[in-house]
Amino acid sequence: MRTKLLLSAAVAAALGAPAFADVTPPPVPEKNPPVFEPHEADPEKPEVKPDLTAEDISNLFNNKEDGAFDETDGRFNQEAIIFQEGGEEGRNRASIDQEASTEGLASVEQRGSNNRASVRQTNTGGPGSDGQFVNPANIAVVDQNGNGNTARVRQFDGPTLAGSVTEANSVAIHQYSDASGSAGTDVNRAEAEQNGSFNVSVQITQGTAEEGGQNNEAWALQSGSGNSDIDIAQNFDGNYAEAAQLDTWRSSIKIEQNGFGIDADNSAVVTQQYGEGLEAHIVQGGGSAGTAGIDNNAAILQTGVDNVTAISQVFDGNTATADQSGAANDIAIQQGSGFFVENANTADVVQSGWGNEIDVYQTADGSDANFATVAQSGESNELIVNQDAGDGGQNFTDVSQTGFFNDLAVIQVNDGAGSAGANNASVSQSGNENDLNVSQDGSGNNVLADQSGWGNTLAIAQVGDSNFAGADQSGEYNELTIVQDGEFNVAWATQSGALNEGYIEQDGASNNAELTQTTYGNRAHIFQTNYETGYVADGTNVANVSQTYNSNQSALVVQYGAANTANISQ
Amino acid sequence: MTSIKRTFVKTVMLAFALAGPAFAPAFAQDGNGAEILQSGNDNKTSVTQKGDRNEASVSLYGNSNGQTDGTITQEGDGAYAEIYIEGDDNNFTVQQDTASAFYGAVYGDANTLTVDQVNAYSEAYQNYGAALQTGYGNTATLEQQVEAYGESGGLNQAFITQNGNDNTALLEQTGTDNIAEISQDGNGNSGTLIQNGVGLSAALNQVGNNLPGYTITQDCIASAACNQDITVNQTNAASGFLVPSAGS
Repeated sequence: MRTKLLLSAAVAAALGAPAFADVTPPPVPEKNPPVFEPHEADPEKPEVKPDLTAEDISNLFNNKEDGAFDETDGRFNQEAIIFQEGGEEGRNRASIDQEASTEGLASVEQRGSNNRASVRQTNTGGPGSDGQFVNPANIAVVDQNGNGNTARVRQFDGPTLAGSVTEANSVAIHQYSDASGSAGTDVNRAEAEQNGSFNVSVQITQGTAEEGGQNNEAWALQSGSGNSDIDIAQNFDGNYAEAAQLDTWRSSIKIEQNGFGIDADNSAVVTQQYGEGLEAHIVQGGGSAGTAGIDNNAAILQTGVDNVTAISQVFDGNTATADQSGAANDIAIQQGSGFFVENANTADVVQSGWGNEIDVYQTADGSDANFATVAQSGESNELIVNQDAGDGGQNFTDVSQTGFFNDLAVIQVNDGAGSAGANNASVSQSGNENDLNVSQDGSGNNVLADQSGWGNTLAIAQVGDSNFAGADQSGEYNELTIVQDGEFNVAWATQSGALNEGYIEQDGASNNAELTQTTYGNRAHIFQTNYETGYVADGTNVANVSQTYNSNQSALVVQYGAANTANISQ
Repeated sequence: MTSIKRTFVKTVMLAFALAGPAFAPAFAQDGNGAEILQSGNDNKTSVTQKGDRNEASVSLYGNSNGQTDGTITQEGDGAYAEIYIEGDDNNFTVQQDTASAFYGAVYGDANTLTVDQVNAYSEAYQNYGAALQTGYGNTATLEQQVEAYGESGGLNQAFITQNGNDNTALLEQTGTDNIAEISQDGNGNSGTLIQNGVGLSAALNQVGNNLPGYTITQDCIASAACNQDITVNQTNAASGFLVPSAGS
């Protein structure tokens, strides 16, 4: 990217004799994709891990022959192990109900199709001789190989005392098919529900890249717990996963869906409400299997404090929706593209509260398009939308931010020379002491920016030809800056209110700048200088300043080159 | 010549005045400042200001600037305008209202400068105009007219200084107690000075050869004493002629 030169606001002090040596680079935000930073553990909240989890047990299943897992060394207080084998129409039923005082193990292993497994475990661990509750750790494992299987596991608390119960319940459900997946097969369903206090985990795996499996459904719910995790992994296409955590803290939900081919059509929904230190991750189409699924849907709803929402969608045709409220929350959405053509990525983000952050990063290639709609309200928030249209793609973003002390940045890039309308940004910001920044690199870009309040700054930087920047700023003590580097650019700006500063710089030929200011004490600056190529070669620029019906205003127009037109009306 | 030197002092002063206008709430279009700087050929520029006490400054570097549209129009009172032009074939027009001041400096050939100032009230609101042209074949026109009170108001001052050959100057004033002065240094220059009113002062200074002529016309409209002065200084060769005014 060529270096852009921006006369600093300090030049206003030397308005009568512009000093072109005093230039500083424009404030162009970073273009790096969002980075997820892990939360630091809270020392006040003990992390208790079970010595054996359902995942461990599930691995034992996989390392043994079918039905060979029957040794637990007597470590479980209660133990139920079921193995059923059927054919295409297995239709086996297995049901386990445990009320465990300390540790219970329930395992169901089913082969064939149309099997059903149901497990219900309740912790009844009362206080021991020392008055403390013991450490109930119920483990439920369901392993189903075939089509049309259903697994349902529920783990509930018995009586609890806050702070004295250390539970470590865990659920592992594994559903897959030996036959490689094809449309209409598999259709397994897994349900897991936990209500506990500590270290409860749910792991659901449906299909693997080797084993196939598609059109599966997974449901998981955790409530009233901490240090809890829900992990759902679905391979192949047409899967649906829904996970929720209610009244939980320092917990996470991770859904990974690895689709294949053009119509992966995987969907993931996450709800985390009234929580603290929660993380929600949805990864679609580009996980460990390294596949190329597109047309995925992801949705996350979070309320609470110090939460993280992260959605990563590889390739195109994806939809991501994030809704977050509370404080110190982060949203990061990353959508890729470039594998198939004519598929658009869409991101819809809503965030409210204070100290929050939003990062949206989208890439497009070929004839793809990205759409990002972002709304953020509250105080001291940050918002970044970063879109790369590649060669021939298009970006569209519609961003609004309300409140105080907020930062907003939109970065759009396209490599396609002369592709009209490649980047399009519509940005609105209201409140006081806010910053708005739009940077576009490419040709045929459009920006419409609207800012209201006082003490705000609005900056638009465009590199390339045939760009359009329109800015409307209302209020007092505001600053507006538009810098365009290229030819046939148009910058139209209006500042209504008093004591505002407007600055338009256009480096190149055949540019058009219009700056309108109302009420009193405003300053207008238009520089059409073609600073890079010298001040003789180009020209045919038009600059209009309108400061009508006002007083104590100043206007400065500087033009280099031939056949320029300058008009000041006061 | 001293009045022209003040032009450059005022130029610097205007620069600072524009940089920091006093921010005070007002409801008229007063106290505005406009500045345009153009470098290159075939540029067009215009400044339009309404309201009182506005200031405008235009600097042009290059040829054929403002050939079709180079104007400063100030419709309010107490306006200040200054222009600085470097280049040839430039055409600039300034229109100002009561109690306005104009300073212009033009360096180059075949430039045309036209200034029209109107005093709508009386001698308490006089206009001031000073134009300097350095080069060949330049034309300067400076008109100061008293409108509302016919020829009774005035105290207007107009100065044209031209350095170079084949330049043309025209000064035209109406009203009382006006001062007009044309100074030309070079060959083939011509000046015309027309004053209508009472208590007029006209001076024409020419240095050079082959001066095709000058005209000074003073038309006294008063029935009593006219108190008119005409001074003509020509050095080296001179070929002008003097037409005394009707009332003198």
